[in-house]
Amino acid sequence: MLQAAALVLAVAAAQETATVRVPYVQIVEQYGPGTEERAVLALRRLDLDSPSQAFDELDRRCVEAGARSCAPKDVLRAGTDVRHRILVDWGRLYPRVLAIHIEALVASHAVTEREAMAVHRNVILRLIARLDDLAERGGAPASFATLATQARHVLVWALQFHRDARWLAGVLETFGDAVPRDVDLLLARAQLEELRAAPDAVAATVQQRNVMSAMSREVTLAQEEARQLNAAARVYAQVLALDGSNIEAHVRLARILARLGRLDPAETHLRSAQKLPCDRRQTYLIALFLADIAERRGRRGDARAAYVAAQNAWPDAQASAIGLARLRALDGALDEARAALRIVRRSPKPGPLDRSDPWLGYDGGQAWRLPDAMRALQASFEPLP
Amino acid sequence: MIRAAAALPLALAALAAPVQFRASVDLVRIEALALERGRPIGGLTAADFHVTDNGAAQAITVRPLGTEGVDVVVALDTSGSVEGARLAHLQAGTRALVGQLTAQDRATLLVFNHALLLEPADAAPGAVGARIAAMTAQGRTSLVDAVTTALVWSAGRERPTLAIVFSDGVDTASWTRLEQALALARSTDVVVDAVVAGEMLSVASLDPALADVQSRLPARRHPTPSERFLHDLTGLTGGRVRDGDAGDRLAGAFREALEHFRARYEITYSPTATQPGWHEIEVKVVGRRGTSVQARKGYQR
Repeated sequence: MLQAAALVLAVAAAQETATVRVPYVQIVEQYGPGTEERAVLALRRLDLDSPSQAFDELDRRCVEAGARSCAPKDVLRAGTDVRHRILVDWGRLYPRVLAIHIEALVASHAVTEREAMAVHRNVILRLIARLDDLAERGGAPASFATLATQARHVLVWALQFHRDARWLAGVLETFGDAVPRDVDLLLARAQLEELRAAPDAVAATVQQRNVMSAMSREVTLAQEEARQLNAAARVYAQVLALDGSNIEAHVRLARILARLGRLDPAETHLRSAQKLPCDRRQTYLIALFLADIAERRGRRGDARAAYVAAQNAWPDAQASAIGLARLRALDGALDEARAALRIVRRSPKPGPLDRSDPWLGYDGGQAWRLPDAMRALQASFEPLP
Repeated sequence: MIRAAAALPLALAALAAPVQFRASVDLVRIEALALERGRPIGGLTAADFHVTDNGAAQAITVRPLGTEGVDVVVALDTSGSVEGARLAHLQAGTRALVGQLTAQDRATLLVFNHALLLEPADAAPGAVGARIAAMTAQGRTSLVDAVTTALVWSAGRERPTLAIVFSDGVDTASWTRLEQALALARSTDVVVDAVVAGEMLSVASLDPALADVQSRLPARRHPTPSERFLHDLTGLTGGRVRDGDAGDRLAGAFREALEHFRARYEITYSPTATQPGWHEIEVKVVGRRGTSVQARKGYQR
């Protein structure tokens, strides 16, 4: 399940094998726990060039079942038996469609496979539109509305996995009114502003606006970065207004405030988050960020203690190890400094960046939630006949 | 990463806290390279150098590094942008560098993309080959974390230590902030040379000695701290930025970095003033026109 790194390797190997074309729906039905890799490889071999190819095959089944068309209004107007047959079939197929295209999207190369990525994204967007249509009309099981929500979440997380600010912005715009009501989409909206505060994004924005003439480049870029960070901070505050116990929003807002030099409110948010039921990843990041705040304040001892707390939470992480080693070196404790580097003396664990060090996956927003979300999605699969 | 202007005063205040290094407490050691028309000058003695510490002349001892054993830490960027021919050039260049080391020397390899791997460490040069062959290019760039790790690993050694950092892109993944890495560099006596390629050549174009790069690339106007990082780092530690854009240049840049390091003089002195804080060092060759000296800019006491 969502073993992107392994999948990428497998995909590369498969590109050299003979091509056997399997029908799309059969591939979707093939997808499930333990068969992800085989199914995604088969989907890649199909080389879909538009979402219509996928939906033409999917919709053939509902026409064969007796519906006038597969538009939700026609399906819901169909006779009881026909409607029932189609909704049961969709209930089996659509979660699998979502899951396989998310897996394929995540496994794609963000530079060389843009067209394939666009097809996967558009299949999911079209699926969400149909699910929303069904939910709005009534008469369909509530599970379709739930699936639409899941689909929105996993799609933005997959785009966060690729750090794709442009597509993330487009998708969030497509989701429209759903965003301000959904904490997870709001978090993605805020993280989009964080991606826009990355150095290359800031440089591109400044260049586009051509505002460099009056001030030095460094000042202009710093101002643009601060502007984007403040935009992100406003959206995180919006999340906390909806859900004051949202740990992710507290932690990420704190990080932004620290970058803006607002250390007191930053620490307050981290302390608030510490009082909530944090998982290991959150505990690690909170300690890491507290170390940074302590050091910015010149409290090197507190920073060291916070780095040790971070190491205790995530022993394999390199960021806390390097932070601690640097502080030890500055204190003149060179043997301890070198000992703190032991984590970089062995190969990092393979797999997603978050697995070896949550800091490395930090600018991927909530992409770290994808594996659990995919497990939940798979657990919801209805058995096939 | 660019920091917001508002954060800077606090960051600088924190960095002003005193730091200590074993090597800087009683004896200051400088590895200085004397150049004449870009070529190292041999045969110099203490009488040929004039060294000031916060403006005060110092009584120095001088010896050439010559063939004495040195420690070399090689930090190599193997992020995604290195994929393809550049990786092959990097492997060949590193092999050539290691091939120049003698049995008295020790080598440390630090391979980094977003993740770091420091292995082998302080090994016989021959032990590095397998690791060079295993390098692959993928992922993002933790350049500042890698530099910090190299500095920590190299700090306070009795043997002369050269750190060579190769990168072809600005940092995208480090935890360590630029100013933190530079503060550490101010506190160590390791010489850092940077070999750059690709988009990082804009860094090389900051160096007036690299006229060739400047003819190929317009010098970056108003570079950001992130773009200036390797230029600032090498300047502080007495090293320099080298152009490694083509295959032979990469091997050539590595080779020249080591040759120039071996051509350095170790200058030591007990400072006449011992007040805490930043001590600015100036090293000059006396009585010879057209000479320049590459040496660290000072130390934190």
